[in-house]
Amino acid sequence: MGSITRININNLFWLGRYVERVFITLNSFFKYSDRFIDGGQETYEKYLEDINVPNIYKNSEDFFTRYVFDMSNPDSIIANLDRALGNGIVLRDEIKTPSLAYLQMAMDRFKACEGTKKIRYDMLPVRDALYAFWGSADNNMTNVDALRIIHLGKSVERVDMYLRLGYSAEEISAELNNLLKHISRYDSYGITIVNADACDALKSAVRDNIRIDRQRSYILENVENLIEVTIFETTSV
Amino acid sequence: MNVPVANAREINELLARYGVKFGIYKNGTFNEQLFPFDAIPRIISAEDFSHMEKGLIQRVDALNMFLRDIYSDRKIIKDGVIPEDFVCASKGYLAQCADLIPSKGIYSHISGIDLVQAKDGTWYILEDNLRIPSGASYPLIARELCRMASPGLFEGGRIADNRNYASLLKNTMDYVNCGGINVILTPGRLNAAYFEHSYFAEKTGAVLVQNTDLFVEDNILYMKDYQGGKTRVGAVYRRISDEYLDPLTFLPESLIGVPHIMDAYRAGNTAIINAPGNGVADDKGIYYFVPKMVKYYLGEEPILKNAPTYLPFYDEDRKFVLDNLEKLVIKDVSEAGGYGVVFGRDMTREQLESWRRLITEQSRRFIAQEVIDFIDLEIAENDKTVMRKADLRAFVLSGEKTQVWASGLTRFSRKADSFVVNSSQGGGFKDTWVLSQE
Repeated sequence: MGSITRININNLFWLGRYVERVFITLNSFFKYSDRFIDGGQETYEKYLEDINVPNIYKNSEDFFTRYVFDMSNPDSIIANLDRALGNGIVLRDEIKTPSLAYLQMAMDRFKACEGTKKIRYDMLPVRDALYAFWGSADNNMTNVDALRIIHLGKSVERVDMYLRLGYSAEEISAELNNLLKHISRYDSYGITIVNADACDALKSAVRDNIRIDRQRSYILENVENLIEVTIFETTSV
Repeated sequence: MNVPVANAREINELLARYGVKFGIYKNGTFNEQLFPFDAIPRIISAEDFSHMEKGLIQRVDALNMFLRDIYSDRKIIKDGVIPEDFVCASKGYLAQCADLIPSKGIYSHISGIDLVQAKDGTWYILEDNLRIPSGASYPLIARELCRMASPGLFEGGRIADNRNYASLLKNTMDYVNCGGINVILTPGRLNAAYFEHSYFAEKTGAVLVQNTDLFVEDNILYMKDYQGGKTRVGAVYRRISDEYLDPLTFLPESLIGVPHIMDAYRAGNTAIINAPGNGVADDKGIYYFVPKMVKYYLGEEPILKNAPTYLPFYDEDRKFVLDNLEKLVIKDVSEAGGYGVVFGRDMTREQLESWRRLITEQSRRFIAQEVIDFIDLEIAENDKTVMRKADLRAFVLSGEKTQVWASGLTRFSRKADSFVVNSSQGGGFKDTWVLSQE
């Protein structure tokens, strides 16, 4: 497994999760803001309900500002990007400076977009930087095991968010399969961070072709329990 | 050599992109900020550097010999070259390190020597930093970015390539390594120099660790991996101060140290870079004696000069200091980072009197130096060029041999008429070019 410290395992896993969370919530927000142009029945309250985030906003304008740009709001997209960057900063030696630079660029660009009237356009470089981060990590990281942990975090986050955001059963099933493939790689490395019960539950869910639409909370619960990295110290960022 | 500065904006953008920052605590709050970079390089001629290089190697070799002596036979005290008071009263002297010879007998593996150049071209040593000198990462990455933004400037190989610092550092760690991996021990993300810790870990291949990643068993230092396995550590480039290094040897309240690491070090099972206890040699009071050390240990005349310095501890010097206080700069020997430095010329009559009393009462606590009228360097500021005071931190690495990095950290004051260049007090930095030929 090379020389990966206990703290770094936690940071690597959460780096993958937070980068993916930003990416998915940004895309989700873009879809919402596109629908919002036409008015109609679309409301921010419905959006918040869909993504299971508490409604602390006074009105749609307050939502647009604070959900996206308010660093002090722990549910905001920028707060999650800040957590991704914080994990990246403490992992410079693992992920390498060029990869970290893409997270920094995403943050700098994100901040520069505050107040814009054309958020989807102005934020395109943020998405580009996140895409580039993954390419750079895949290309530059020399510790393959560390890279796999980041991808494991990414995959867990995807299943988690897909379940919460109402993605289709096919999309969830595909990502769940992807996650289980990640896990099987870890089995062969003898890695002990996987909760065996949760893993078995997910495997049987896929094998028995349980109807995902009816089992979302069950799957979500097992995904949340799947990786036991939380037994390690919490990242301080 | 005429150097264009049109790339300043690009380079500062690149520095931001690569997260080249340092942390600073102000009013109890931690903030990270970019280290202001000026694109006009400091240029040092090959001849000047060659002279400086010889002087720095000589000085650091003598300082390493002093440290070995002072923690073993103390011949330099017995022979009356340095008063015992100046050694034992130094905050940097650690009795726990007595009779403890580090791997390969090297104490100061990475020495940061601060110099200034007077208007007549003479280089003076301002201070020696032998504990955890920081700053090499900034010119190192800046050069990489300058070559990206202005490749034309570097054509023809006229400027010595300074991008070998990481390999010099790795070679130094490998040379003293007692068997096992190299690690860089950081106090964590909120340390002022965290960028440097993580950047050097990346560039040297050492593992960046915090204290909770390390443990000692049977006097051997190990890094624990997340599965509970352990990997032996042969060299620790520690970026935490001596007093916090081992709570069982030094400050018991330290939460960032590694219990028993000093036992592993004492047993010769791990190297600690730089060695604990080096503070005794970079004490501002001991600085006065470094030229004497060079003569004593090497039998040579010092190649590089100290700034003219007076020790109020000696009656004759004290009289001179009290009589000429308004012309001198006073330094508290226990302070660093530009703190504890006052200029007599800035004091009121009452303040001068107060300082005279303090110096008389606590003569060991202060040194006094003549104010060197060191050269101003050109700084680009708002599309204009202004002149500002600047120093140079040269980095000397001691492994199989003692080598001077052909570059350094040039720090400058961003305030007109200020002599304080420290980053913690708002200073900026420049690339330092050593010409490879005339």
